[in-house]
Amino acid sequence: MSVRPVLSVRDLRVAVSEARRELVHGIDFDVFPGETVGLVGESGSGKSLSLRSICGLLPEGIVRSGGSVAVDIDESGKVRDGVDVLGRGIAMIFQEPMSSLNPTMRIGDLVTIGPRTLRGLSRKEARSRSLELMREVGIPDAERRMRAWPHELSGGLRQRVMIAMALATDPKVLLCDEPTTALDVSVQDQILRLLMQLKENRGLSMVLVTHDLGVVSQVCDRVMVMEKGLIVESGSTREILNHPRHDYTRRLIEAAQ
Amino acid sequence: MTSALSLENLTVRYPISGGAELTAVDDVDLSIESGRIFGLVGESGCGKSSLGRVIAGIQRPQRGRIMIDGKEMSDRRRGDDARLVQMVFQDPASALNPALTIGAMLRELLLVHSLVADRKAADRRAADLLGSVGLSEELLERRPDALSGGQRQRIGIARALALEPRVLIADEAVAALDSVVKKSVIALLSDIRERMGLTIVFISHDLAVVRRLCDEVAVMYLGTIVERQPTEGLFDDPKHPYTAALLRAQPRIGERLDLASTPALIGDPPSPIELRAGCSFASRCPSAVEICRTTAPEAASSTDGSLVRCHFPLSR
Amino acid sequence: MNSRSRRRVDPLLATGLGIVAVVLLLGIIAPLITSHDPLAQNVRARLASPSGDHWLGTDLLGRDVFSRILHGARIDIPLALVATLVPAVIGTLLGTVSGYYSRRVDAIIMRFADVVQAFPVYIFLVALVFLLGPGARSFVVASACISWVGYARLVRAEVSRLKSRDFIVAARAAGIGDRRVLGRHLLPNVMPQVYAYMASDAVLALVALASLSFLSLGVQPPEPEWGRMIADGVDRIRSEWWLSAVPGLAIVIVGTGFSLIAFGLERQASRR
Repeated sequence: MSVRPVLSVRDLRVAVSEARRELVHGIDFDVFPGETVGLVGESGSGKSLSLRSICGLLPEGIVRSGGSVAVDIDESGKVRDGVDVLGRGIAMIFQEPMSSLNPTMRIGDLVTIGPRTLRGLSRKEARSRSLELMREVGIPDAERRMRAWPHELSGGLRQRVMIAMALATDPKVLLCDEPTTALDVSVQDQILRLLMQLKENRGLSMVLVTHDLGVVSQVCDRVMVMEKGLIVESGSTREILNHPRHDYTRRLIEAAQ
Repeated sequence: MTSALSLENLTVRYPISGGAELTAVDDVDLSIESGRIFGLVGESGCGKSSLGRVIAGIQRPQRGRIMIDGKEMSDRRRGDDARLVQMVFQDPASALNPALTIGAMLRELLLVHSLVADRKAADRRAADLLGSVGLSEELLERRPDALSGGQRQRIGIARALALEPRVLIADEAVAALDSVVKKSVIALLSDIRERMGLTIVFISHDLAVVRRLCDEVAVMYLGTIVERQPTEGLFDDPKHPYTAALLRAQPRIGERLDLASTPALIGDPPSPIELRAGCSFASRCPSAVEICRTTAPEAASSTDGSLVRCHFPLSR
Repeated sequence: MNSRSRRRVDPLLATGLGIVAVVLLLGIIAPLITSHDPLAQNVRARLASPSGDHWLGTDLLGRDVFSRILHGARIDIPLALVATLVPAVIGTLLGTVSGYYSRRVDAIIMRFADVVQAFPVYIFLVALVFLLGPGARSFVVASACISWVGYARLVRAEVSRLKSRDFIVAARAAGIGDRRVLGRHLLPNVMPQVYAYMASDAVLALVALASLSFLSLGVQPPEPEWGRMIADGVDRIRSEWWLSAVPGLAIVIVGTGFSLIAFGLERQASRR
């Protein structure tokens, strides 16, 4: 039996709702279990919008205007749209951990806010689960940090908190939108290691949006190159980085070296 | 030989809540030869931006001297002194006045400093300046919001050049740009140095860019310069363990992350509020021993200007 | 394409400007539209109903209401504008100084602002006008004493926000003097918000003027001021209701005009 993809995107289109101006012109891709797929391109290529539209986290005024997203993570084999499984199998992490974390909540409460509201975890259960997750994502001194506020943490720790929040929903697919762009290289190295560890331990599938081909080379199994709302080239990371066929890919690689 | 820029005992502190102080730049001595592109790298919070702003005269140091071509700068620079150091900022969108056309902005600078005789000459010079940063003079009539990010950054460079400075401070000047545009702006900076003999202090967290552009590089950690070397030496033969770790952490095309390897650096830099005794890097250094935690290492410099601040510098 | 969309005037703004301009124009050409002197009394023609001669009838003293309404535009609109402009200038200057210069100057100006804001606006206004003596000039002076605070706070906040922006830092680092930085770099980026605030402030000034005149503290009789006219008609509200309703409507129309201008300007400012 062949392996079915966990995430299947067909003819995905994203547009400005008022102006009917299309920004992503129909892209197709599959993500298989345990796979990390990179989505690269320059700003304005539509990579981030494509990612966000999978689970419906688009900015105000921008909508998914066509196509389908099928998520197959249910044991029973039921296929559902990404929007319906956000927090129930799909989770997302962002570039700016500061603006993505509610500044009025302590870290310990933040980490399990998702499952508490969705699954009705008790306060006590939530606490111990938070602690567990914070240890899993390598937050040192987790017990004490439970009571810290987001602004008291460094950028790297905040990103770990956001990853812990995502893990709290037990995702099978993790969508990552430039997760290390705002971080220093040493911290980026740590976060990428963490993501790879999680992928191995939990069998996570990941879609990683980034502009950094170095990051792609480090962690992605496959990569798709986006330009002006279209996927212009895709293939295994090694193949794309060593033998790019599309002109745009070549330019990106050349500029990054 | 005189240096284009030299700093002596430069210290910058910020008051923070609770009466404490944060030391951003800690007693830095530095001199840079004329006509060089000097890279200043380090992680966020290491003090590289504060150092750049102090050199540019935007911020005042608590202590120390800044000399441009051997002439000491006062805290408040007036007249020609105000022209000597100019800055190119990271975010080209916020670095240009949205209410002024590019032409009006350049004209004002030229006329305020009497670099041109009259308005007509100012217009001619403004057009030349756009040409020298690779832009068409049609842009003179435009406002910043009608320009692309790359064009804005070129305008930012043109603005700095308008004042005919001796030293250009580029603070993360290409960090906000896409890779292809980034490459062209880097080429422009390099070209400007060739043509105008300008000295450029290039502040960046991006080691790949620094390697491509700079002649010499200094690495900052917690407000001090821990290593300085010509670019090639620094990248091929780093002497300070921190430099080595930074280089190792840099993701490169063609390399895969190996989970079995040890991470380049663990944790975050310690707080710059309570500076402890000993080497500032001791808490994260893989090879730190007792003396590193008790005694701060002196800077060991060699004749070519290289410097390393470590008890046990690495050797190849 | 961006600059063209900015140059296009916002439709709300255009409508508002149109309304205010039309009313003001009607006031200016009032002598051409009606032959009745707005001050001429005619005891024999008191409280006449609307007719071909007196389109809106006459008031208690037999003056032509239509003529008085039109002439009222010459009083209410300019006065409301002056009572907006004076505090706007004062407030913008103080706010700029407060936001740009040292903490000490800022502290002094803002303490004054706190004192002014500690009182309810209308009570303060009435008290000041009472102290200064009723009349249009007192109204303007009192408005200036009170309304500057809003402008000062707005401008101060904007200036201190923009002050740390790179383009201001760059201008200062380029050796451009403080006054030039303020005048050419800071204020042009603050003024769109000030204009929007002025338009909404003009609504308040218009209503405040009418209210004061209603209380006999504003424009004095026999001048045809709208608020005074409402007051004059109040006793006859059951029979000759238009005596109060028509000047009231005039205030509503002009007030709506100012509001639309404010909305439009705000929208334009936020679009930048």
